[in-house]
Amino acid sequence: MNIRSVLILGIASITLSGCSGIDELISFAKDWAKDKDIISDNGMPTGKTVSRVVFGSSTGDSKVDAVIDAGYMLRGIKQAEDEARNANAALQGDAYNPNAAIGHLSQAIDMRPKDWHYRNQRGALLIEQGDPDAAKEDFIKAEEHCNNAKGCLQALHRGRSAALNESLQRQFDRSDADPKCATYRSLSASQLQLAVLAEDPKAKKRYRDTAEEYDIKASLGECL
Amino acid sequence: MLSFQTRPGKAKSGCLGCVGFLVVVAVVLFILGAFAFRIPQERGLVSNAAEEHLLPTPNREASLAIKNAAERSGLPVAGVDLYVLPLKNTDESILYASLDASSGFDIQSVANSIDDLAAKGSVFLQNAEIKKNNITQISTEYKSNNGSRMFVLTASTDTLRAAANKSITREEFIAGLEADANIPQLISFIQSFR
Repeated sequence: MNIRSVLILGIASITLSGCSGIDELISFAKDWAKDKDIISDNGMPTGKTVSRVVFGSSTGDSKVDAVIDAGYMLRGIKQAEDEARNANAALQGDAYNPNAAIGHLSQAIDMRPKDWHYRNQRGALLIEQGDPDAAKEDFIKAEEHCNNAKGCLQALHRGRSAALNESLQRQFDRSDADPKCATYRSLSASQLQLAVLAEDPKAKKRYRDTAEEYDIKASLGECL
Repeated sequence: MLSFQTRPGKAKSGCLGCVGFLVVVAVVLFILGAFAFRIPQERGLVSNAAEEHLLPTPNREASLAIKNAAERSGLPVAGVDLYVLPLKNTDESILYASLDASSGFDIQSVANSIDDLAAKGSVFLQNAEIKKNNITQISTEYKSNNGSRMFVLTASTDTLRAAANKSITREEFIAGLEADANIPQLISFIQSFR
């Protein structure tokens, strides 16, 4: 059983090593298993084999363990992404059903409560639906999950800007009425946050200028 | 007057003890089987190192950019999901590639063109998106036709680049490669080739 598993690990590792030939493959897999103390020099399973097979024991490096376990985390992410895709489908064309979309995004949030992406999406949609207070709550909670980490906040505000811009486009496409002022104001706020977080002076200026443009649109009375 | 006959206590407890032993064995086998099939991990019943070390939100922009880069490099993308997952408290990220046979990934065709793909993989490792997003570890998992994870391989980006440039020895590459496998799934996978 162990030799078989080692063999298949070798088949997989060929994609990384670029080696070819079945003998080389088996040799590579055996050497790997010996290096990791999974089999002894005479090819017999060691005590570590049992623990690795049954319990998936640690590699000794917590980062590597995390990388190996990431697949289980991704399973949850994929399920939540399916809900987000359903939400997006509910907003397209004649099928436009924002309440259904909010329901799907709420499911995604329940599945991945610490993933700020879905709160950004729902927040943008709540503004579109005329509930800026609920949107604000989503946006605040989303930011809490970043724990003030700069990279996280930058990604969050870029993502929020994208969600708000999509919402803005929908509002233009679906109605003769003006879009919601709160969408412009939220876009401005995100651009200002990006300006604060940016290190490059040119990028800072670009974000500030964009924020100003949204503020002007919000103040010109061309929104609801 | 009614009278009752009772069996000697010793014999009764012996039978019960036998049943109890079988129950214990069955429970132990069930638990070991569950772990061997990675059921607690799959169902999220046990905490895993990933939740502890990785941020809960994947970098979606980077994931898309890197998938596009992989496609431009000529690597197969059908049935392949790529995720850039940022590590907590650092500016590093990992790249996790999920090759899913149930979504159209064809491991046979990959195996048939492995030398060509290895060359394309070397080009992909030099892509600016990998550097820009500070990807320090790359993982590849393979999922079978029923969508279950069969194995995962991982190595640092530096190790993979060095292997691609042939600037490390075979032993050094082996030492830098880590893996995990679902043994029962692997056995059926091997049998499918017979």
